[in-house]
Amino acid sequence: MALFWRIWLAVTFVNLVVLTIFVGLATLQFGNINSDLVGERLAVLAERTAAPFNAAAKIGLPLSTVRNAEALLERARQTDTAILAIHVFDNAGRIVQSTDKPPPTEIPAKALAARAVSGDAPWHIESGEIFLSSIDIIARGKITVGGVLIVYPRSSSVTQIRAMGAELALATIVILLFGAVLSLFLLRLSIGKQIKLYDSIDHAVTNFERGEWRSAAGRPSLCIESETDELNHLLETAEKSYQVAGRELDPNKDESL
Amino acid sequence: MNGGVRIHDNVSLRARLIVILVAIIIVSVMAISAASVAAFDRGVEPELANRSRLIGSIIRLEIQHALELGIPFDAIVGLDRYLSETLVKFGEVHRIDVKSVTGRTIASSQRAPTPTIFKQKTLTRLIDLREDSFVLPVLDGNELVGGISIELNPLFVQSRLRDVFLDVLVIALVAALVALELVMMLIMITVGKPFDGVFLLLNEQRQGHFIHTIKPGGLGSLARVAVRLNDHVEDLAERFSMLPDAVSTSAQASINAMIAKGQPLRLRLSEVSDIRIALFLFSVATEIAVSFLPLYAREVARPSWLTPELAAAAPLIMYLAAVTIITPFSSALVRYFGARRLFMYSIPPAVLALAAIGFSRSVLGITLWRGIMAVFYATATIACQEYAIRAAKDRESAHTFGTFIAVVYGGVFCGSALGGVIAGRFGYETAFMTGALVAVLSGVLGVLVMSGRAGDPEGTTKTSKKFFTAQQLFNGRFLALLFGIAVPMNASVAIFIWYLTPMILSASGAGPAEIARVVMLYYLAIVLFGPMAANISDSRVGPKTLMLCGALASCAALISLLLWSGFWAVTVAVVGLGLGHTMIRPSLYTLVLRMTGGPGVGLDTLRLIERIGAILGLAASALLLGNRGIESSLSMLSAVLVTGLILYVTIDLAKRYRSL
Repeated sequence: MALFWRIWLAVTFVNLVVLTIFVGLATLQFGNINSDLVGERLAVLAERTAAPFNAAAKIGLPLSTVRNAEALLERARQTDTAILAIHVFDNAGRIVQSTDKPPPTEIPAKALAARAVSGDAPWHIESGEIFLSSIDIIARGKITVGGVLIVYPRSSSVTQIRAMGAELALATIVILLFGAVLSLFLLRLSIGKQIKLYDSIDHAVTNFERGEWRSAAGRPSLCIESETDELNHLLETAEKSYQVAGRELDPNKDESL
Repeated sequence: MNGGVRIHDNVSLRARLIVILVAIIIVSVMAISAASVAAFDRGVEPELANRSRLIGSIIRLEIQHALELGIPFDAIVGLDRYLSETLVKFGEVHRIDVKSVTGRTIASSQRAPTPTIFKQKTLTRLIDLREDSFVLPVLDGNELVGGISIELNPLFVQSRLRDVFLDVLVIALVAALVALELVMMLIMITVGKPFDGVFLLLNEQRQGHFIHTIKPGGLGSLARVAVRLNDHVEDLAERFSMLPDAVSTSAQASINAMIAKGQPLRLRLSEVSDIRIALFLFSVATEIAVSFLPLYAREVARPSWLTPELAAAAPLIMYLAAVTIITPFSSALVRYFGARRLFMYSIPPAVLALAAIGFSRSVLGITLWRGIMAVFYATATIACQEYAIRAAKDRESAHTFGTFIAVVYGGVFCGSALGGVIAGRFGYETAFMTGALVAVLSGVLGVLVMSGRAGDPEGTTKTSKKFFTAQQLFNGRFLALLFGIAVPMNASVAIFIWYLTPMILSASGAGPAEIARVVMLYYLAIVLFGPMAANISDSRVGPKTLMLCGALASCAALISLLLWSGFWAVTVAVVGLGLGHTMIRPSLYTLVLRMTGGPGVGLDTLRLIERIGAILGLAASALLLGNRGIESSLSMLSAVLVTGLILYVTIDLAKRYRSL
């Protein structure tokens, strides 16, 4: 039975490893999905915020000269109280309008790199504790003159991801327990015969060893009738073969005879 | 081993354990997948609602802005057009109505029903889908003048959740493949090898051979028996060595047993499955960047003369070139170093290259390190393949190749999925570092499990060197096999799977995620059905019949696209080609081994021709197919496949006729 329980433990362990891998990957994937959804929402807001700047750029006005720019940005910021800041920046990444007082001089380097890769499409990235989402400001002739960047905290997103991880971990524990019980039944049903056979090997080995030490003390060898006769036979013939070879090597064999 | 010793046959236990483990893991993964989809559904709902409400409030702001300017609510010009534009911009909105306080509709716009690629019924049953709508009031000063009713598009939510469901499915497949490899390793270590070792030693000693020992291990009393049998050998060897020279010479002549002189030889048993876990993890590690490497290469700094498209393709071109260059020398390297040592030597440079790609900030750096990684990927995988061939009881068995191909493609599948998830969450650098860590793990496990004699230098490949000559290399049947079957197969992967499938699917409206999933089906077919195809090849059906069936299936899959088109047509063709190639690959290797008498130059030639086929396919995609239509490209490719098949069958029949 020891073999049975070891197999059962191994089955349960493999199941645990697989479920852990699944939960880890699924939680990461949820983080990606959640990040995309937040990015898409902020892109809607960024597009709306960029509209007056697009209009100004189309008639050739510099972004820094847009009237009421501060109010426009502040109104956009108030649509979601969680928004940390909204910046308008030029192609070099210099911030020309912002809700921050005083505004930072330029957007983060990561944001510039992400913008370079995205082409004209809206983009979003996560950077440390913040979430950055942006859309380009397009002038006449589809020339990009800058962009609107929304800075959003990641804290609520992180909380959601952790909650998802915890929920899946709980589900894993339940499924693991269920799997352990199921494997117990399945193993008993399908490999019971094999386990008995393997147990009988244990018995055969033990019996063989017992026979050996008893015969050394003068008792005739045991005759065991079981399914493992062939194994016993193998063990005994191998042992006899060893004893014969050993005696042949004995330098005093002639004297002892 | 004595065939009459029934109980010694552990195949039954091994097979049953695999079935039970796989069944339990499938049940667990299905259960956790269902739980995940339901949890994801709940998790994304607030964010989807937030976005919808934001869209609603933007529309309301626009209307209220007009009202603030003094325009009466029912006289806002262009409201219908504005609502239609909004519908175009935001896919999740199905209908927008602007109504007065009396309920009169002032403006309304509704999305036209669009055909969807997937039927949604199955998913609808699995998750609770809601048809949400909400109303936002519109104020003119202090007066309530009406409301905006926004009806959300349930198909949009469904499609997002379908994506989630398919993502979860891919993760479940990754988990299941990892589990399979763990199970195989566990069973090999705890049941397979200890049993084989003990019974091999028992049979040897029964016949009076005391020359080998084994590594004690295994469950229950097996370890004890192993210690005892080892002690027999060590004791006799020690006593024999202590005999005076004259006595030992006479004893050697008279004794009816073979006794080890000096230290007994430790038996190191080899099995095909020895390579599984190490090769699988190594494939996972090296293919971790498959899903994002072109994007990564496009992002980093590049010389001004290099276009972004070429920058994205440069690492792949270098990869194929490096693998092609090293392939002809691989068998010689295995002979010289031994499969185990070659595999181990390949790990540190591969780890270094993976880490270096992650920290490279230029296309040149990435391409160079990718090339270095490709060289050691080739040496490591070929080392594993040669190990498996030598470990196999029947060296020409397709089972060996079926196992090898299934493990490599399983690794590719898991690596690309794992890399995509990790890079999406933590960035490219983390994904590459994860790859490097997994490669280290594969090396550690390789040391532990690839310890059999099949991993030693020289030895078994001598026969192939002796038998395989230049004459055989230019043998018509061998050439027909290479150019009629192997080259078209690899070219069709490069042209159809890598190039045409994304183009056709993109043209039929599928997004990048859907395209990636369809392409994955090709690899999944190989992973799932590879072992089964190998068994069929080893059965009475035989490798040649199976290979011809595979070639016919591949031709049929491509020709089918000339008869019907669309998303499902391409999906069926991809699966058909995957199944066809699943039948071809192990059979092809078996036939080449039979022709060439063992691993060596013949197998190297096949590997080289396979790589050249892929490069030709890529070159054809880039240079020739760009100017032609998709249909014309498909016709050309189908013609190449059919011609190759006819060429092979004709030459084979002619050779057979001549030999009669």
